[in-house]
Amino acid sequence: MIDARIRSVFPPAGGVADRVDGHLQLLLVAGSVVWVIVVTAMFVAVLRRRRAERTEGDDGVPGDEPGRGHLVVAFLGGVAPAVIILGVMADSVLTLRDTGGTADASRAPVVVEVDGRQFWWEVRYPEHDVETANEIHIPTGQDVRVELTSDDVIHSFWVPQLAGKVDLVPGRTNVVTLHADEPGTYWGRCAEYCGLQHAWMRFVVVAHDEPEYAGWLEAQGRPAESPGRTDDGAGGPDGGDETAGGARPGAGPDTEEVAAGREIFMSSSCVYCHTIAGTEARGTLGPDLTHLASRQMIGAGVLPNDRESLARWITGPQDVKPGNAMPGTDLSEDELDALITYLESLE
Amino acid sequence: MTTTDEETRPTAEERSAFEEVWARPRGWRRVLTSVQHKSVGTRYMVTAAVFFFVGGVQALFMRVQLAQPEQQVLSAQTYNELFTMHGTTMMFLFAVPFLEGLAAYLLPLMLGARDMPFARYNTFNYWCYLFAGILLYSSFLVGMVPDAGWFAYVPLSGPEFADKAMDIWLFGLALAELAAIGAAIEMIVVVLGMRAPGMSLDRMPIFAWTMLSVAVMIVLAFVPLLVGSMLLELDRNAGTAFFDTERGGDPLLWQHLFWIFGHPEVYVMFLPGAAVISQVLPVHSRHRLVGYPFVVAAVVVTAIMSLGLWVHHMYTTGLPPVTLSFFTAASMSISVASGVQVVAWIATLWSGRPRLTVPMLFSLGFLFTFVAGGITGVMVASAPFDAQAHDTYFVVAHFHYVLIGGMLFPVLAGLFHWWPKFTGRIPSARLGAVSFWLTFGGFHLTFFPMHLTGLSGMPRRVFTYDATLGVGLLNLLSTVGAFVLASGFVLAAVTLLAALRRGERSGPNPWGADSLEWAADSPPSSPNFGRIPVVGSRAPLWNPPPRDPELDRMAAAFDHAPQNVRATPFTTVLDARPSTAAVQASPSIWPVVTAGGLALAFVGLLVESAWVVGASVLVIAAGFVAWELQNERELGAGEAREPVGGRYPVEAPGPRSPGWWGATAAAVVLVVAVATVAFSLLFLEVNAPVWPAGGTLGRPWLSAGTGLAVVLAIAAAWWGSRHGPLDHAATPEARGAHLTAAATTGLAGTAALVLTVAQWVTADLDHTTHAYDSGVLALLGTLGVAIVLGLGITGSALVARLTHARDVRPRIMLQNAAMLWAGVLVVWAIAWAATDLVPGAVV
Amino acid sequence: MTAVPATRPRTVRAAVAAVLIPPAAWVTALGLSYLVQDFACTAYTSSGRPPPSTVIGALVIGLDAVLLALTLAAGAVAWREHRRAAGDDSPLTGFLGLLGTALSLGFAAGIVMIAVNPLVLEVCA
Repeated sequence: MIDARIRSVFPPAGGVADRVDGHLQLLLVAGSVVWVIVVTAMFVAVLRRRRAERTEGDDGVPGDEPGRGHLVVAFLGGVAPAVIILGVMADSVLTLRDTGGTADASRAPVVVEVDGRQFWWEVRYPEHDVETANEIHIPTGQDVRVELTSDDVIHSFWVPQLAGKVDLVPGRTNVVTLHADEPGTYWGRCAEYCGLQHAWMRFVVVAHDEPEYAGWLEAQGRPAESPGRTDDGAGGPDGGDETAGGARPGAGPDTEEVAAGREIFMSSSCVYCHTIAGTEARGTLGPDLTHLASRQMIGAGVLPNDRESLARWITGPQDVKPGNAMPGTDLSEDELDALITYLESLE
Repeated sequence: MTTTDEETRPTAEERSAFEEVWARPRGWRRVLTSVQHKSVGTRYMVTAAVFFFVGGVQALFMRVQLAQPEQQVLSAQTYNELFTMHGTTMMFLFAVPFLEGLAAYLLPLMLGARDMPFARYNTFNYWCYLFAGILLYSSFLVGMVPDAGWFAYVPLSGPEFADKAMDIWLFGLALAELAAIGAAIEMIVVVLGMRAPGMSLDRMPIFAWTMLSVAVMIVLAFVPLLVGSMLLELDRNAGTAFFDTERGGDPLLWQHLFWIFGHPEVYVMFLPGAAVISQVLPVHSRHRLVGYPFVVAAVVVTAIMSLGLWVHHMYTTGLPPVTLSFFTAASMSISVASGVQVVAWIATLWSGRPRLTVPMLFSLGFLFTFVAGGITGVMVASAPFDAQAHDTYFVVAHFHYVLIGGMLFPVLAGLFHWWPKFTGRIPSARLGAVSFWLTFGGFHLTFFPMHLTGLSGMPRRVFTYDATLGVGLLNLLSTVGAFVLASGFVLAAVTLLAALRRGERSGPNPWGADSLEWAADSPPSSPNFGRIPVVGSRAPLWNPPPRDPELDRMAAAFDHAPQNVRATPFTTVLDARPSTAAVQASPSIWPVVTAGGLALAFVGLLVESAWVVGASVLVIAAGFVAWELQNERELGAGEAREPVGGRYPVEAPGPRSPGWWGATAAAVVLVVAVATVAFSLLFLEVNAPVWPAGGTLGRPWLSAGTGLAVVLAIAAAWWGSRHGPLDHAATPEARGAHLTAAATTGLAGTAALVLTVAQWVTADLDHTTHAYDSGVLALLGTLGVAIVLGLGITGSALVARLTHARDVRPRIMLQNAAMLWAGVLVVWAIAWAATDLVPGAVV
Repeated sequence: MTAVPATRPRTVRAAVAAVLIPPAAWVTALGLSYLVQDFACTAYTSSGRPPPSTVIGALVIGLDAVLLALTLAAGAVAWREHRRAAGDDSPLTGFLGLLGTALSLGFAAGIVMIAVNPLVLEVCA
């Protein structure tokens, strides 16, 4: 399973997150030191032993003595913090200079478009005509320019280990630059409250080294082995490295069950919302399912991608994730089995 | 002029006549008609405490849901409703109203006054607030609970994604904001004009400095939210396009308007908390606050800079880095001001002899906690850091450190400190100390882990999280802590309530404190002070009174006097020298009627019933007219009223009576409102990809005519206000001049209104087609509302003229009308600049 | 007719002005820096023209410099009134003078922190 620490801001895994990490450490250390000094001063001020001659009676209260008190307040309270703040501000501005600029196309050879939806992510590779959902595959060691848009409400794109948040605001295209040093899976999620299922609006960023990434892109660019016709003789995808559902029904021609499942898919309401490349399913309201079986999770992170979860999802999406846009589908057990077998063949 | 110099003590009859005029109403009349600042302040605080309890219970439910990963205690829908209402309740129904209540109770006492300047308006504001709370919570009864978060970002709160729950939220909010703005005007006037003789600015308690600053912030910051919520309501129900990207609107406009309010709001809560510490900590340290001038400077710097931080809530919206960095600079600068205050408190502790009383414990707990919250505040002020921490539990931890640490601990310190003053009883020190340790321990157990939860990647506003995130234990700690914290609050409440019956009786000044409220009885009598104290130093009860015959004369003149009307000394702004007598309102039913009418209007809009809305308009109009008639009747009753003590006129024109300040503040509110709409239009214009070319309103003659009519209204009112003697005499010439002036002003104002409507009608704009059209119509609408208010005050001047024999009151009312019309002129100018000048110049 | 004293109005007025100017200057500095930079850059970008970054940056810094000078001048006046008041034994003026000095320094630092940004960061990114 996935390492728990992997979703934390620590340790950063490259790019913007790396640069911010240094700034973050400085803030944490400086802040802690200041806090300790202030609180120590407070305790000493309360508990220190008073000299006898400063003892006043209960109604004797020292008068106004501006001189020394004013200097203490002005310098310890005003000037000293100002110096610290100037230092912190300088580091902040420099960090911002290094991280805040949007990567222009020349600096970032890879461009990904991400469209936030209630409550999932549509991911497109415009140069390669690839479309997927809730999974962003990127090459390691390169800047990836992610262009963020939304058509419904405001979402926020956050991969803690790779970069800070950037919002997806209707009417705007915002940009975040991802850069992963090492191959691996990095968790991301929506960070701006976007409605009922904001909690379950996740995605993963999968970083591959360059050849693997090219292979993945190439495989995603083609329809899956058995989307519509049995004689689709495409070679097996070599980039499917971390697929969760291992049960793949042979790379050969269609089994009967796959064909039956396809029939069920194409004849039901599925096609109104989902696209499977190479078939007549051309819906755009829901995620593109062309390579569904190659993905790790379904429902934007709410369930793992396996037979049991697919069954739960297809029959009762509103029980699993109330408020998502998908209606439940009434199927007999056999039909459901066939449908899932078909979906699992979409690799 | 020397007759009052000799001290003549008031006779027993005079005393009882004085008490009679200040007598509190009894029974149900007291509930509905009492306008006295102590009863209004108490109501605010009690109501706010109830809402605090409700908001706290909501928080506990949320903590139970989050105690373990993937729990199903609450549904996602319920959870989202709870966090929305928790934030809304704590911000709008607890923190701000509680502090307004504390200020309403304490300010007159602390300043040596007998009531708030416009006591009936003060009461009206309380009722608005109460009805706002009832309206918001009625959402639970009708099963439409707001669930778009307390920040209500569009489009999630817009017409497409939110149901009627959002309208309930917006109307409730508008009513609560209206109350807060009114309370701010009260605070400005009481602090500037109603200080005890001799309390020059340099001798004013920090609490008064702070509430003055806070009130200015409220006027500048809450008005934009009020405008913003109206724009959103128009988008939702009238089809305007302010936030709709398809038609030239922009969802980020809402974020700007919301946070222009939202950030100052944080300091509206924290600064009074800090001010309570500045009052409490020196008393229990037996030492004056060290560095007073610097603390005042820090308060002013914080108040002003808080107006320029709002973009730090928008660091992740994709604004250019340099924009972010401007606001990083502002956000970081403000922390220096807090540093000044913290060092001043520590230096006071250092120099004094601190006693570990309950108020002191809460003050120390405040310092311990708030400094941590301030430091995390500096961290999230940094744009690159914030991109990681934003919208995670790190931020939740940060602002609870600032708000509970910086506002709630001081409030508890203040409650234990002032409880003897409020009730005449001293709460148990032992129970108080236990409640402190429970709240302090529970607080840190709840919120410290959240820093780590957030950095571990858990965002805010999620109803659950999965186990692989690895924050189950941290969340469990927070949940346990929340219950400890809650038990501490309950124990604190029990301690205070138990003291009502069993507490040791307190004299006027059990702590040996320094400020004037401790010179009044515990609890204070209805007029607070039979004899108004005079002030010669910053700690009037720790130092001998000044020897200043001028101040003593005023104190003697007001010694259990006047006896025919409620009045208190009015003094000069800078050095609080004796000036005039300010009349204070007596009990009245009309504030609750009018506020009820207003609430009814919102209900009518919600149920979309023209009948209810129509009825409510009648109630509001009748309420205001009856209110005004009562005002004038009472002021007119003492026709032959001599100046108090033969020296201090009961009414005087110019800044020497509260009305002038009130009219000025109202004018400023109008100007801020129209400036907000103009900013919105400009913002949309530069951000929209397509904007109607050459988009000017294009009605130059009608527009110029409106302006001219307003100028005429100002001139006529001003001219009228120059006529007539200032004493209690009445002259026929002045009467004629006042009538002419009021009539001319009214006619000119009506003409301005007609011309404005004509612009609207002829302008060939359709507010549903494009944000530009919506914006222009909103500007004209704002101008129209301003003109209606101008006509209202002109009508009051006319009523004053018709009901009074003497001339001074109509003079003052005409002068106030002139002030307000001047505000209307600025509104017109800004509206014209935004609709014609700027677009014209750009093209 | 009433007991309103007209003592030392000049110096008090100077001190009051010195108290009011720094906050107003800071608000203006932040407001104008933000409006000029953000609105100008956005207006150019929205209309598809390349924004003149250098000009906008220089304008922002120039505006801030003027306001900084104003703030410091107010501080100087405030300090003068503060010192003078010590001799005159007028505590109110002395207090306002000290307050004005502190405000001037605080807001001046704030303006400087705003004004340096265009020097370090790209004005229209």
